[in-house]
Amino acid sequence: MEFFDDKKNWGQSEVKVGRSWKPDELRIKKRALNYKVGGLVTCGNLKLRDRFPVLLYYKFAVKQFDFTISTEAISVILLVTLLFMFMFVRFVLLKERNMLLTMEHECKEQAELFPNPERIDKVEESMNNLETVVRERNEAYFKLETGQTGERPVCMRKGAVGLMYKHRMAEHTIPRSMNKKWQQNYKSYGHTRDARQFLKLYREKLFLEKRRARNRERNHVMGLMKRFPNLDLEAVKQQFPSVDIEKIRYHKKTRGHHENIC
Amino acid sequence: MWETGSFFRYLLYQRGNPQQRIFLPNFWLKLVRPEHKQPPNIVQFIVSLQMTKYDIRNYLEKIYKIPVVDIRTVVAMGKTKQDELKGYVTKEDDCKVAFVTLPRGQEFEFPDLFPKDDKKLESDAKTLEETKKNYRQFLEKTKKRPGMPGWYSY
Amino acid sequence: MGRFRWQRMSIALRKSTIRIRPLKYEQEYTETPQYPPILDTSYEARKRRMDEQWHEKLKALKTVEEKLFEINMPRYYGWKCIMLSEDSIPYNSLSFAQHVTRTHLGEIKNLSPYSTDLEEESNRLLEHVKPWIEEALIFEFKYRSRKHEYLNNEEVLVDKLDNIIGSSIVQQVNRILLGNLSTKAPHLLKCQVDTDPRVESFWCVGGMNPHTFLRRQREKVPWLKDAADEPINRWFQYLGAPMMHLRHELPLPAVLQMRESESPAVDVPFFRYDPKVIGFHDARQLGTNIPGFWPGDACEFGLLSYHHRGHMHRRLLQYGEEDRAEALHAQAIFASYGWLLPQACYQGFSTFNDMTYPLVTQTVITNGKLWSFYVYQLNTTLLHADHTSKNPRHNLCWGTPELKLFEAIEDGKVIGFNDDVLKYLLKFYLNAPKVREGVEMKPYLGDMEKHIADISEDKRREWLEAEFKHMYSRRPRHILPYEIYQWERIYKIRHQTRPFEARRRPFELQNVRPHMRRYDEHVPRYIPKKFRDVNKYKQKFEDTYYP
Repeated sequence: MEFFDDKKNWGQSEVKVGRSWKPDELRIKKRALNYKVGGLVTCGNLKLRDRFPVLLYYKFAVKQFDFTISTEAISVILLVTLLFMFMFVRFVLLKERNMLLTMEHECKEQAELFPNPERIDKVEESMNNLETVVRERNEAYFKLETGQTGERPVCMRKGAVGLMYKHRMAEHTIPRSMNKKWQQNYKSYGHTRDARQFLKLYREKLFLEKRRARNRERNHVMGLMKRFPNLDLEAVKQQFPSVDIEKIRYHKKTRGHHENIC
Repeated sequence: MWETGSFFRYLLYQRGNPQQRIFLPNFWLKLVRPEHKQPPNIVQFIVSLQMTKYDIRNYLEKIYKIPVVDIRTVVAMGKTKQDELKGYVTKEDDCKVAFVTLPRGQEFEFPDLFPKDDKKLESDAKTLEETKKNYRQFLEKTKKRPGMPGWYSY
Repeated sequence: MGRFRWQRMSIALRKSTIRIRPLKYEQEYTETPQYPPILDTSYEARKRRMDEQWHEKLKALKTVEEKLFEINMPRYYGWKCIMLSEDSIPYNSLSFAQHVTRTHLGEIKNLSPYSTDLEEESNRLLEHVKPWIEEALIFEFKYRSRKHEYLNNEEVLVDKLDNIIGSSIVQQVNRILLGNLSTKAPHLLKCQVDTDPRVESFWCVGGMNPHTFLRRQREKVPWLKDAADEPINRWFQYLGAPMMHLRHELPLPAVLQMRESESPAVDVPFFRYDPKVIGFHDARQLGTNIPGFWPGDACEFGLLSYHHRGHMHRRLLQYGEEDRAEALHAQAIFASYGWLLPQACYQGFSTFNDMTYPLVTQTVITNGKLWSFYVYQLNTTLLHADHTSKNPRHNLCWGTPELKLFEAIEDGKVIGFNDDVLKYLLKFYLNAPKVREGVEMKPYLGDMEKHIADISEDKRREWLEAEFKHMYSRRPRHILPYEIYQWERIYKIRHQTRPFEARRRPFELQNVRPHMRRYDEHVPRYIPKKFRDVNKYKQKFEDTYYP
């Protein structure tokens, strides 16, 4: 019955819940997390069915690793503790999300209103936050142990028409040189004449856009100088670093009408 | 150490195979009212499309502590809908339906989540009557001046 | 055959073939007015009458093959049937097996001929046979090389190996028992032994829930709305795979009288769900009833059949012990019923025409080490429509749990040999078939024509023989059933987005339902001009002799 909401919420038009967990709350140290997670969950939006397993997991984790206390072991303890904790928190979130999805589906089937649909978003947000925190820890651990981040590796690759893009690398059973299917899927035409032509025009377009932006900014500054003769030029220099103030200072366009009234 | 990220990917090779482990799984699953008439020990779920039968079994056994005997899955096509004015057809996402068999003797009946509340029905009916009455009064008041907007009073 | 067009058929079908000849004056009038009977004209009653008419027609057909042919006549592509096989039995399906075969399950222990007369005889013969059997077991389990049996498969599957060992042991055991017992039991001299026979049966069961698709269709039709949940008939096709069976000219004596199965103590669980929800699947195919030999064979009654149990290795551990035992019972029920029903069909009965006397068979499921024994008595084949609840008769099955023949084989000796298991086997072999006194064995078959081979008209006999064999070859029809593609379902059926396209596909035409096409709805074979009969030179197409 964990797939259904509390019986008292059945058929209600409103279910009151708290906010989602913030990354900072999830990021706090282990002892505090114990306390905090328990507290948060009970007063927050999620009903922690049983608070004790958190402590249990924690104790178990410490017991497993307290035979040697070195820096590595401490990091492992910390990590495993947090992992268990996060897993448990994640399970709570998963159950909560499944429950909400079940209720939402049934409401849709019965043509009823699903009360407070933002609950799903809150759980989703908590999950994302949890994931960011776990990712941070993971990265720190990997940097400590291996000197790498442990994330999925990314490389820059030339695409089909010769433009570069970020490619998330994946494992393959067949090496790239033998993998006909991979070669077909990632075929590049970047070296062809058409692509070269395209790239030339594309770069020209980018350059023109850039030049226009520069001119626009310069004209804007000139307009400002024209309208406000007592402008603080130092501030302008700071705000528009691309504009050469000295060069446009005596330009025709910067001269206001106030100077040739006579 | 673990695979994070929005979409879980199984590693092709891991030292000491097989030890596929997922920490922080991104799978969802929802319990739905049974579509077919079936024995009381069969439960119907809709699960995320990436889940395999083994995933479903582990998910239910490890997280929910539900004993699972057998699982049959089918990928169901999403419903299609046609726009009334423009006439284009749209389709909902496909979903994976899992029929999970519990051990014999165990029964599950999908509960009625929307119990009929007589009080609420009564109050709704009352409000409806009131609205009707007010509208009738309004019609009575304005029948002499057709076409005049309701907010105009003299 | 390619000439067949639905449009042409619909025109032909519209024409009435009834010719009314005016009555003569003296026939027209009688002394007392004779009224036709007043019939119920409701939809259900008319449907029932049509079905009954068909069943009467089946009963009246003279030969066995024509009766079997006629069951498939209403459907060109065959009936949609639930496929039952011996080696895939879903979880918790014993009650289903009992319902679809209307079988009561009991214990074999105190069954009368097996615990009385046959017991004494088997006790006497046990010591005589035992050393031979032990020797065969030692040879098969210890000394015989199995490598060549599965040389082609790199991966040796446990269930395959189990089947291979099982069948070789059964061959040995059968050889030993036939050799040793035939002097004491002369009926064994006359019996036929078949290895890997083709056993298939096809029957109709009522009282099942309509499947979800049908229920929703009915709910859409205003006049069927109230009857949306009315139970329906389902067709079942069993495909057996026995490793060996023995058959004889005479049937085994009935264990109980037929009317004893009508007592209220004999009960059968009612399984009303669609079989697909517990893991069976359906397919559209022509139904076949074949007990391992063609109609007309002299030995047409089964004595004993052996079945594999390799599939037990494939069952998941989560199913548990209780389900293991039940799966064996279900396998035995299907195997026994699936063999007896075609035997009954060869006697002229069918799933719509009930038996007038019982038939009995004995079933053994084994892998050489583990043995289960079953005795099955077929009392009724009438399961369609409301007969599932109203038919007083039941089929009876008596079985044992799985028994170990021996514990182990060590140092060339069999350890812990279980005599009871061998005794069951001896009893099965010693159970002699007898002539049924005062029973007409083939009441629904013709006096002279009992099989196609008895038909005197050459052309008709040859045509029927060829067509029957073709039907029973289980080949797909030469024009495959059409398929609705996914894009058509979305853009043509669910949403009519292509109104200007020519309507050519069957689902776009009126009165065209390929799955409802009758077996004989096709253009007969064309006769080229030079082969035509001189007297009938205008006859373009060959005659057909459908039953």
